[in-house]
Amino acid sequence: MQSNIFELIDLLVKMSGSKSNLDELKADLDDTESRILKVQKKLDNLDEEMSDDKYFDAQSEIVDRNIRISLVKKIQKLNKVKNDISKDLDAAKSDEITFHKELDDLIDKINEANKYNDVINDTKSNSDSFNQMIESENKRISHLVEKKKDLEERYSDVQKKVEYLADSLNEVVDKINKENDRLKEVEDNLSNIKSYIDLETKEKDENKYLDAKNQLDDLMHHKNEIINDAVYIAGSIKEHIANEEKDKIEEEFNHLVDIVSSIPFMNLEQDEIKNEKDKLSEELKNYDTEISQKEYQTMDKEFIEERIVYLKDNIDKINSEIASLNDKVSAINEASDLLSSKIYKAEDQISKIDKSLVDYESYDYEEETEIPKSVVQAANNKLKEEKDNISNIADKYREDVINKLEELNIVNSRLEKLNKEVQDKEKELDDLEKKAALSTKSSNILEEEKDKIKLEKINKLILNLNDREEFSKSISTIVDEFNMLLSSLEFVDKKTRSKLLYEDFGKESKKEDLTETKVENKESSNEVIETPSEEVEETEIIDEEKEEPIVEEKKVDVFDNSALKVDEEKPLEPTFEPVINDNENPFSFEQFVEEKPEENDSKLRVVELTEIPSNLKENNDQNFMVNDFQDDEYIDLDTAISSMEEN
Amino acid sequence: MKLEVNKIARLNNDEKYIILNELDYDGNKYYLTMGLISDNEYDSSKVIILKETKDGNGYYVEKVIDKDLLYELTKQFKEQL
Repeated sequence: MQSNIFELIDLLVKMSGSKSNLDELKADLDDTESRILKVQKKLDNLDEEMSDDKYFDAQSEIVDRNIRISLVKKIQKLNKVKNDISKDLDAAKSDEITFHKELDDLIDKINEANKYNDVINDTKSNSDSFNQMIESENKRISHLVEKKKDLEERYSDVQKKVEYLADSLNEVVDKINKENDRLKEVEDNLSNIKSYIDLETKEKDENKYLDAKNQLDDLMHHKNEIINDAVYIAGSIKEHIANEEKDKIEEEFNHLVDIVSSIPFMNLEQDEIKNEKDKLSEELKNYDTEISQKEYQTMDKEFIEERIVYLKDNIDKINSEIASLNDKVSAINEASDLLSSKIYKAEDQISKIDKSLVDYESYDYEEETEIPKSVVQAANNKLKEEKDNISNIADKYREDVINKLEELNIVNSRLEKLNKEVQDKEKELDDLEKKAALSTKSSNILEEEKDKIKLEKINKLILNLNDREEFSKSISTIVDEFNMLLSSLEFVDKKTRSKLLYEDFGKESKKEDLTETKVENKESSNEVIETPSEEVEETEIIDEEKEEPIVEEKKVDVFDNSALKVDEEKPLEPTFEPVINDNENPFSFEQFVEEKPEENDSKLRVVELTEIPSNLKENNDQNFMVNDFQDDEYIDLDTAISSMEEN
Repeated sequence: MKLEVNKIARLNNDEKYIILNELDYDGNKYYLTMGLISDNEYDSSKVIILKETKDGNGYYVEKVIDKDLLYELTKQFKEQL
């Protein structure tokens, strides 16, 4: 009965179309989960690390606080110095005013004394008192001059002091301003915590976090792909059956059914397949007809053709104008030739006249010819007049030539333009004619592609339908059969089963019976197993009809690993003994199942460790190993690793 | 049963391997092994790395199949030479 259930599961797997290998899926899932754990751990660590404290530069903040304190003190000190200098400056300025006034007063006094002295000196007197007075007055003036000199020095000193103090004051004020600016900057930093955040490191961490998050998403996606693979789900269901976990069996089976049902047509009943196939064939046929009638003509062809007609007409017109202009050029050239010949003729006449003119000025013509000079002069004048007339006519011809040349230039320029225009239009025409030629063959790519995709879809649906047709049972039938089989399948009580196993364990003759402890429902049973347990007597019934040993069935069907299959003929070796003996309840079913090698095909137990025999020989032609391990000769590890890499 | 270098280990699927070398990596024990065809024959093309794990019931081994890990372990084994 169990094999029937497995057949149903396998049928669903086939219907899913999955070609995966369970071992590979398991290994991949283990690897993916291990990677997920690592990435998740990395994310957790990053999350933990990425607090503001990590990026906050506390040291800089402390430094700034100290700088602020220092600056405040410094500014206070400078303000004190400034006040002192200001006071000194005020005092010096006051002194300067005082000295200035005193000096003015002294100069006035000296001036007055000098005036008085002058008056005295101008007075003629020989009296002693008068002389004494003069002497006294001179002394007073000398004294005043001396005092003035002294005062001037002091005034000069005060002025220097004022200047010095003013400079010092400016210097201090500058310093105070600078320090205030620094203080403001530091206070701004202190009031804004972001100033101390290491944005570069923070950004790096954020990028790392984002990368890990993306990696985790990819891994989770991959994990979902694995666990939603029909082969994997089928494997899980079989394991749950082996472990007798009914709820999980139903849950996983429903999951598998959902997956298979999502494939188009897979949930069709048998009688619906033909109808669907007819419908699709009809649809395909109709669509095929529709496509065959489509021209996929591009819409621009009409415009291209219109333009071609226009261009051809236009080129004809231009060519006609070019021909007319060429005629005009020929006419101008003819006229120019005519004018040139006339000019030549006139020039020739002028040349002849020039030769006839007598240079009567240069020698005595009258003496030689006896013709009066006046006659010669009159004759010359007549010739000159004639020459001027011809020359004027020649000039007029020249003007005509120039006009003709100008006309020729204009015509040539127009010709050049028209030729260029014709050339361009002919090129465009050529391109358009090529496009038009292609346009008749090519089609509307977009429209064609749409039809192609639609056809592909219909074909795919037909293939899906064909796939469905391959299976004789519908999903609903499979589900019904599965539920029926599952409900009729009574799982053996684990404790009882362990006891049963224990009773018969090691008895070679009873081993076959042991593997036949699969229990069917009571109704179909014929024989009750004799066991020490009353509970078992009441509940455990053997189905004699079924000869399949349950252990073997599990080994083959559930795990499907040929490397781990047990030979039917081989008696069950007590390889689980050591583990069973190590446990408090050594005969529980869980222990038995756990010790089966197929239980976890990625984990293998080391059952024996032996010395390397001396007669060990190499199995292939490679000669990189030695045969005798007893003589301290070992396998060439380097080559062994290389061999592994190659494989 | 714990694996030992220069011994032959028989696993519960009856596969046998000569333990060539051992390595501690990332908190785990790994063994470089070569498969035996019989007690007297070995297959030099079947060189694999086994990871040793332990639970309440004893020692187990797993074949290392992760490519990245294999690459790293191979490198480590080579460095030991």
